[in-house]
Amino acid sequence: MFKEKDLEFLCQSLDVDLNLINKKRTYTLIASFIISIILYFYSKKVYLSIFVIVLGLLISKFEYWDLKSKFKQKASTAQLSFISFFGYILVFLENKFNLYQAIKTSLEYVDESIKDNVETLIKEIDEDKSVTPYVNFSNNFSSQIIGQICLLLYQLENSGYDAMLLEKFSPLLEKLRSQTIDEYIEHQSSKLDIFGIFPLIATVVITFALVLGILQSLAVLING
Amino acid sequence: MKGFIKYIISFLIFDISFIVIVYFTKDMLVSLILSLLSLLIFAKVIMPNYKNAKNYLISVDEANQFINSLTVQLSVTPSLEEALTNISFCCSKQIQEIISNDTFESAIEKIEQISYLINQPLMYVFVTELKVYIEQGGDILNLSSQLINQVNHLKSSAYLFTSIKKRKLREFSTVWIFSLVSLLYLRLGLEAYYMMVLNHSVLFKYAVAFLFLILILSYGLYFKRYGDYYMEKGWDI
Repeated sequence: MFKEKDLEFLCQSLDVDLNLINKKRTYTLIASFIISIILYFYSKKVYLSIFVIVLGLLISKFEYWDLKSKFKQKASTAQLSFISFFGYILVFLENKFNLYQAIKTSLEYVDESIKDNVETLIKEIDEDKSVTPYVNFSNNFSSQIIGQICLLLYQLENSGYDAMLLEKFSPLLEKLRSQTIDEYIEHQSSKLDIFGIFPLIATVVITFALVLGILQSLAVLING
Repeated sequence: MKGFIKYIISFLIFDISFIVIVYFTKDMLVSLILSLLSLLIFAKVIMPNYKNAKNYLISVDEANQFINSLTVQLSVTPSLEEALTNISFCCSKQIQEIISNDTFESAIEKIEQISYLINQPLMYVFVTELKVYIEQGGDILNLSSQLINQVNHLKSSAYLFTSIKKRKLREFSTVWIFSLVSLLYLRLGLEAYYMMVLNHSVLFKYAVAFLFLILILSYGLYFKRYGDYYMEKGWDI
């Protein structure tokens, strides 16, 4: 009933055990249900039991939100790493390396997040000279521009390093870079915006405590 | 000297936070715990992360300066050794020491050493590119145009992210200042009420302590994020 459509996909992408996540979520819900029943019999207050059930639902939903956030983070990291990787390839192509040499040399410098993917790409190119390895590699990223870049790289190799094709790469890289930076800034800004809430929470707590404190003091004064 | 200043600052942080918290809560134990926490967060979270971020910007600047200067020099001076000596005046002291060190067998070894010192992925790419240039020759300005473009992007994006983080810090600090000013107004302007509530309500005392706890933790968390994302990764975007 509460199972999200993309939960299985998220677990697969992040290499997380789906059964373990499902177990944790089920146990959380059962525990909150039991606690709410105990609380009801102990205090006879329905709202307290409802609160505990809602809390249990939120905690179990949080597992999913956490996976989703990790997935987004992973995709963003991979995209940033691709920009670096592609930049290195362009540097080496400019230095008269062929595409295979450029990819292989870049492997030394790429970020860990895409190192496995690049190794797989090299391995697949060794076995298959068609466009498939490049398509498979681009499937690791969500950006369509990366797909275009990978296809162009294949065309470049087949065209005997046509200078016209090589010139097409820089604008694509620029486009991908500005798009990624914009997304990254938005993501990080929203993460940092959360910090503005902390002083507000503290002020609200102080205000409530002050009102209660005044009432308490008045009660003490009135009762002597 | 730097260590001494660090101790002085830590001492001041502890003292100031203790005095301020005691002034507002009138509780020595709570004030002592919170001041120790603020000292701990300052020494273990704020300072190291701020230093990381600062060192990252320095290394980006150095990589940018070094790659740009050496490429331009190499376009007018055919000898790598001579080009390296010519640009040494605009480099940091540590790089100058490597350049003037005679124990290295060749200029490329010196540049390799410099790349370890700067520790930016693009510096390692530059070394590979220079090795190709030494072997095959060609026009260094043409060969390096893409690399120069990348290192310039690296610098501009690093500064852009830093400016965003600083702006967010200012915004966040402003809200805190407003919260603290209103508490100070309560403490000074309505002193009699404040003291009465503080004496009669334990909840109020702990709410004030909670405000300082949130203040300390939120700055710790902010600086943890200030230093840990993007900065350590060295993405050359």
